[in-house]
Amino acid sequence: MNQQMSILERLWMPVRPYLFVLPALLVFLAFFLYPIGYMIYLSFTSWNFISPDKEFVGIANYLELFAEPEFHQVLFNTFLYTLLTVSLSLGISLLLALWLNRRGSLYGIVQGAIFSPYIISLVSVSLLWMWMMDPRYGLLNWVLNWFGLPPSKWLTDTDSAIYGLILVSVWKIVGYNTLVFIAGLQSIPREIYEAAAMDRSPVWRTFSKITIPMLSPTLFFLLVINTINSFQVFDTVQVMTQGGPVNSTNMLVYYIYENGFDFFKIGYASAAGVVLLLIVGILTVFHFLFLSKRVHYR
Amino acid sequence: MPHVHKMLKWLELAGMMMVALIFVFPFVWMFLTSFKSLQEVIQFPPQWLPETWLWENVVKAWDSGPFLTYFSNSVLVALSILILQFLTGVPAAYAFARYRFKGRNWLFGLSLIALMIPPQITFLPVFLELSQWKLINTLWALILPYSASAFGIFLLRQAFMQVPEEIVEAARLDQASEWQIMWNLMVPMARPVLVTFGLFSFIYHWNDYFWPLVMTNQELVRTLPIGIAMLKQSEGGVAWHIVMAGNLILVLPILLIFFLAQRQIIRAFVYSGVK
Amino acid sequence: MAEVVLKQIVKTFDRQTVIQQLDLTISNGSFTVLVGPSGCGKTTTLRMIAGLETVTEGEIWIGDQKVNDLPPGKRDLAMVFQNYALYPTMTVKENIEFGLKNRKVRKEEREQLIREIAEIVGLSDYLQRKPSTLSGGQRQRVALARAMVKKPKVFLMDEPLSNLDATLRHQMRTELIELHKQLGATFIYVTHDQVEAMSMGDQIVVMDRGRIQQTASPMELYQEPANRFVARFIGTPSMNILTLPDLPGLQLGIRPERVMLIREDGSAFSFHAEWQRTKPDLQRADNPPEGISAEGVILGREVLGAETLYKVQTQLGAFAVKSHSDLLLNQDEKVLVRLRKQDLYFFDAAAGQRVREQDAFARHALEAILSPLTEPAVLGVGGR
Ligand SMILES: Nc1ncnc2c1ncn2[C@@H]1O[C@H](COP(=O)(O)OP(=O)(O)OP(=O)(O)O)[C@@H](O)[C@H]1O
Ligand SMILES: [Mg+2]
Repeated sequence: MNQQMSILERLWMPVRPYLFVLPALLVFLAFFLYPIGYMIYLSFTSWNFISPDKEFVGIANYLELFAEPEFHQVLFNTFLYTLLTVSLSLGISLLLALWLNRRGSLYGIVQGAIFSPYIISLVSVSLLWMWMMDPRYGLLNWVLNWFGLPPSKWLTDTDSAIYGLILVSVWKIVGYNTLVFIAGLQSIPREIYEAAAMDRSPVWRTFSKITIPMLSPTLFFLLVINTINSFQVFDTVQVMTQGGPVNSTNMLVYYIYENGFDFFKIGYASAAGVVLLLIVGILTVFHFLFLSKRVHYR
Repeated sequence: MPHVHKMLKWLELAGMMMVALIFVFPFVWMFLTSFKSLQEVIQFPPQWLPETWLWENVVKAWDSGPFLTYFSNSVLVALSILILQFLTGVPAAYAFARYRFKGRNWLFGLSLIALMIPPQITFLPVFLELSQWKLINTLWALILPYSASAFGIFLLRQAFMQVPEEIVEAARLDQASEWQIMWNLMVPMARPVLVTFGLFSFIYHWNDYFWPLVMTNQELVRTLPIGIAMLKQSEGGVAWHIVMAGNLILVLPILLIFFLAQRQIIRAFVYSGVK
Repeated sequence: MAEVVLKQIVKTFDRQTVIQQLDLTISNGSFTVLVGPSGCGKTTTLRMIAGLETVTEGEIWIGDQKVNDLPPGKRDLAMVFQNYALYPTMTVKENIEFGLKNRKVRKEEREQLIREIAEIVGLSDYLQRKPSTLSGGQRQRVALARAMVKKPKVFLMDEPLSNLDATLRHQMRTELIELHKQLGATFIYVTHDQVEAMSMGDQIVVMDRGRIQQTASPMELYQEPANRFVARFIGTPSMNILTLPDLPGLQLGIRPERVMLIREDGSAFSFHAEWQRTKPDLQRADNPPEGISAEGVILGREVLGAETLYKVQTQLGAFAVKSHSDLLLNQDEKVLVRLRKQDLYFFDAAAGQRVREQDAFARHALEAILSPLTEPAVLGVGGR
């Protein structure tokens, strides 16, 4: 009896780990890795989704893409959006973190308040801000008015629309960044500050020589994560502006969506998708290097 | 001197109130708008409180479309994803944490790559793939692609690796099977991580707009975020009171969870990202 | 019957051999202690017996069954881990019950067994608690109860007391000895603490670098160490080992508590009582006991209360000396050091093997270094 059991077990043991990871890996293969390959393949074809065959066109899609002024505009918008969203939210969050990194229930409440937008659906957030940015009845114009400033047309003006989107995403992610910064600050050992105080280090020097360097892994982490996320902006665009007015808020993912689902230019949209993949890929490599460093430190 | 100190304290307090207001007031405004009449909405300067609280706005919003379907779809999708991720994640994380086998690091690297690839990149090919399988416009299109979470596996593996080897050995001496060790010993020990991840996953998929938008175009399989966004289009122009009332339906459950489990949620989103 | 036999066991980790050709018989019902310095392979040996580690070569027998391929749960043994390895998510009761459930013991029987065992280890009031709410000693008891409830033929314990404070450790030692008597099962106990080994085991296995150095009862180990390693490992402070130019190829050993120190005024210090007893012999001028004498000076001392440790420098070399006298010798004080012949051990200088006295005498003109030990006054060291 025992002998039999162990023969069975001996057959079963080497396959067991593979069976355990199989379901998850199948999902990853089917919905993450294979699609990437498929998309790269599609980017070299011309296909309208309806016709039965896909025509191989080489790099024609890429040539068209880079010749298209609209795509230039889209890239410009995406980079501008990313640059401003990331720098503004990181700057504000760092200041807030330095200020609010204290014990006490009041600080906890304020931290929770700042964080709350982060867990709310982007749809809700978008609609809410659209309402507040309503050019005629919106609350924001009332605030501008209160400060004696002229009203803005917000999302309905090509000059200001993208800033409206930036404002919304900064508002949404500042809380997350702040709390990550606070976590980073709290992981700096108290003793280092005490030693610095014993050495009579002035406040600004403690900040620039201790706080900032010790916080740099956190800063780097947030920089990468925020940048990757900003490049993928979609929900706010789709809900608030649909890329308009006049493409002034059209950005990469929305552009891919538009071309794929509205114009059925699958090959062309895939080529744009590959461009996004490359951008995110490069950032991800950075992130990976960072992660492996973290693992190493532990 | 104590005077100055006191002044500063008050100043800080005022500052904190201001900051909190900037982040919380929009929600308050949403709430107030939900109960106003159209006349009150299109007033400038705005009127703060509704004259009479029109609770029926919520009912109007709810009745403007098949919201019961949206709502139950949302719950069904988020919960199914959670359960599937748990069922696929636990064995995978256990194998990655506890077994040595050929190709382990390689396969784990593969899952990490999956973790790094956002749906915003893969949606087009996945859509084509799912439409080949005739799954577009079914709830499967919303559930299947998320039925395993690389992030969850990553967190769970971490937790499983921290369980001392001796405890597993003690269980082996107690004649426990591997299956028992995994589900009855390791999973309970990883409970904090499971709660963390569960909150993260549920909130993410409850809120998700992008994926359901891309994968569905029929009312029957839509989720709440899509329904709310459609509300804006169908009600049009300035019916903000109805739109905000619909918004409440989407936001309140999450705010309620946040209120009840603020600490765990912050940990779920913040610390799991950092560590 | 649960004799445990290891035959020619070899264990290799990634080409590094940590256990080399180990042969060991642990008789039924014995309390066998594996002892040795850190990294010598005690835990590895124990884990191979448990089945938690595979053997590279050799056979393990428990009773009349070869168990090499038997999974741990089927070997009818229980193990107590150094850090207890309690299941943190289960209550004390569930911890004890887990193994029984897996063996499909019926519920009433389980309840009955748990009640009995809890009574024995004094945990009846704690059954519903989680391990994290218990003290170290209580956790230790849970681990014991969890092992005992399975009524195994063999108990394996890997440094089970090393996480306890000194008082509790002492108490648990006695309790474990009691338990062994009660159960009559075979105990295999790992420790790196030779005092613990001596006080608990009826058979002690001294290991070093993956090899067994000696297997013997505590007294035999102390009195008849098989080699220099065992001689130095058992007893504190360690045995003095002297290399004398007159004895090439040999080393001479003497335990610190066997060295006699004599003051300049002739009063004896350490090892006093024993010497008092042999006084009549000393006075017999015709056939005085033989030994080694040397003049020395006190280099330092450590007062421990009941005993005092001295470091003495002589022309033979430096000695550690343990004295039970209440009087103290001072730094730099001159003393006479005397070693009795019957207290001397001889070792092969290269291999470290014990060399029996007869052989030692055969190989050397040992008499040359021995001289009659007479009263100090006769030597003219003291005043009287
Ligand atoms: N899993 C392993 N892989 C590689 N080498 C190991 C492994 N386990 C133990 N060793 C090595 O085997 C040798 C014996 O280890 P073992 O744990 O048996 O020592 P020990 O006598 O129990 O020591 P201690 O008193 O410190 O617990 C050590 O050199 C150790 O480095
Ligand atoms: Mg050990």
